[in-house]
Amino acid sequence: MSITNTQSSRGPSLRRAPRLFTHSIRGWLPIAPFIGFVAVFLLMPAVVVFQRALGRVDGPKAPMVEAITGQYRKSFIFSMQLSAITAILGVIIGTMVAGSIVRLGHRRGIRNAFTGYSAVAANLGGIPLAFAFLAALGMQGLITKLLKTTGVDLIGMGFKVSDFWGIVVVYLYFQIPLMTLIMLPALDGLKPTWREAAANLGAGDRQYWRFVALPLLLPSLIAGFLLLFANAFSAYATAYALSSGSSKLVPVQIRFFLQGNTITGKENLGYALAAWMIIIMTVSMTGFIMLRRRAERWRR
Amino acid sequence: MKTNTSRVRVLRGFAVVAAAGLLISACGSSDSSSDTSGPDTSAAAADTSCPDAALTDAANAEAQVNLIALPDNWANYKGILQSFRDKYPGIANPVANPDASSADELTAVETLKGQPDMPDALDVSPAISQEVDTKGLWEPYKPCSWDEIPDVMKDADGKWVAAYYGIMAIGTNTTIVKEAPDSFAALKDPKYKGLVSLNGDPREAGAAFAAVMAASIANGGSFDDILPGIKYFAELKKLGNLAGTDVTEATVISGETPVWLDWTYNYPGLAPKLTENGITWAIRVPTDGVYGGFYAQGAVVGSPHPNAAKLWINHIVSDEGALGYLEGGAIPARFAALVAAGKVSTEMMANLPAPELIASITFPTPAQIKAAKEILAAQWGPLVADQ
Repeated sequence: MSITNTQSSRGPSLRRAPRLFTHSIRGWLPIAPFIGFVAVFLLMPAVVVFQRALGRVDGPKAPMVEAITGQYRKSFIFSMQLSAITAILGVIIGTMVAGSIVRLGHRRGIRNAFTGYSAVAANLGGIPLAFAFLAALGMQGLITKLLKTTGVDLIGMGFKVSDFWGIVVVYLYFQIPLMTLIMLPALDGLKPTWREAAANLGAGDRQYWRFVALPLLLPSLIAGFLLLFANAFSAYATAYALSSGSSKLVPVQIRFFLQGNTITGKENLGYALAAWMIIIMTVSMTGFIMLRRRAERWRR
Repeated sequence: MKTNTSRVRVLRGFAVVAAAGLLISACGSSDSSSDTSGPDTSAAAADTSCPDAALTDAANAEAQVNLIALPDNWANYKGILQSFRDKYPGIANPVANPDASSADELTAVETLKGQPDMPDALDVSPAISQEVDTKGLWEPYKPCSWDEIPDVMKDADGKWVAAYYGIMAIGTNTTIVKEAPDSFAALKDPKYKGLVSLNGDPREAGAAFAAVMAASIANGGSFDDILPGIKYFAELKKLGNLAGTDVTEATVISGETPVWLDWTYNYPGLAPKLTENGITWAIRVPTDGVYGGFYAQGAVVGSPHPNAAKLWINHIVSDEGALGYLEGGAIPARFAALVAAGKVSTEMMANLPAPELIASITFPTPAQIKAAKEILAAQWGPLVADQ
């Protein structure tokens, strides 16, 4: 009887009305400016890029097809290789750094200092970064000269900041801090009680990592990889400043068509390259969102 | 404490409206310059001076000429802009976006059409000037002393004129690299490993494209055949001599790019900074490949200040403009006429390459440039960049 009493003692249905309002237009009003901003600065330009990429065909091939054939296919492969390698290295090193920070976590100062530094370094890119590395590792770089005095000749070994591995080193500068920032909350979520429980059940170190920790961290690791990949794939100013003379990266090649002094009349190809980049980025970001959602399930 | 939800809602609404209002007012342009185009130049029957008084009066009425992409230390544009201001004190000549490329200039003309800050006059590479021509954006105008300009440096219909040209040269930071190379063949020497740079990517930068053409001439090619030049740079890259970094003032001073290829008129602009840093340098025109290149200037159709634009074109072709270019190490179009009239001093000649070299320069035709561009776009990537 008491159960039916509580149910019927829930006043008139008017009290439920406020919940209905949150699904109405009023709920969306506060973020209307943000939606407008995204529409004007993100969606409209993307629409224009696709319009021009699929627009009139002046040559033997449609721009969208030409953009992934021949030398442009090589550029996309090179860009994706560079992005994948910096992403993998960033994931491994960034996770290790995050792991160390979590272990030293009882000292508040260290963690705050590292988080602050990572937040800045993850966003430092472009021309200042490129010139900083030129000053450090270039032909006349400080570190190059220092290493030469200890007998390691970087230039003799064929290392150049503008080559593949040089660009990898430069990109890692902002990839590692970004991964650290992503992994810190994930590693925090690894409760120490789970480790104790595993030890109680007889699991060794390796088994703990293989059967407990890694599956828990895997969604975050994959999501971090995809974010780092997209980050490296779209890096433009750094790439341009480092290797303008012989660049094989797609963002710089788009510049040749749209902003260059030499090649004219092929803007559609530039837009097609941009359109393919948007497609690749969208696919990777969608993957990021899906895996992120899956990662959050573990925390409930 | 009960929160007053309706008041919160009203406040929230006001905040949204206020934010939107701020956004809109910030985006609105506050440009209120009047852009009346003065009376066009009538036939200068009564006034035989050039430019005639009607044009000068109309330009003064417009009081401004919008320029774009004229860096201060490119062929001494700083001096030329100043001499224009000295001669016509009533006309302002602001330069938008000094580091823009020629393609950026074309984009600016197209996107700013009809607006008061649309560029009035352009200075573009030959490739882009053809593009501007195809789109019908040049305003034909024959400046004074039109007849003294060689035919190859002007458009027959007066659409554009090339006020200056230069020769592709090899610059060396002799503080770091003691021996300055003086030919394309010399650049292959192992002692220049990792030290040679182009001024950008040839698929994009006019100066780098000209360097490839010059290398082509040095290696058995011609204006019609740019492939030997591309193969030369492929070999240079294979030897490890070709560095990948872009050449800027900073990289030259730091010694990152001690040997680089650029137009002769770009070196004098670097001179003050280099001397300040205690660096000596040498400029050598390659003995095996002499290549000259010009940039085209002209007024733009439908610009807000047409008469001031025409006055500017006049100025850069006139004696003051020509002498300004000479100071910057560029060779003005009317060089032969100026030398004949004895207006070129010996110290100005010091900035220029030898007279015999200047006399031997020929330019490729627009058709040859177009064909060369296409081969470069198709072959540079696979042969050089991807290796």
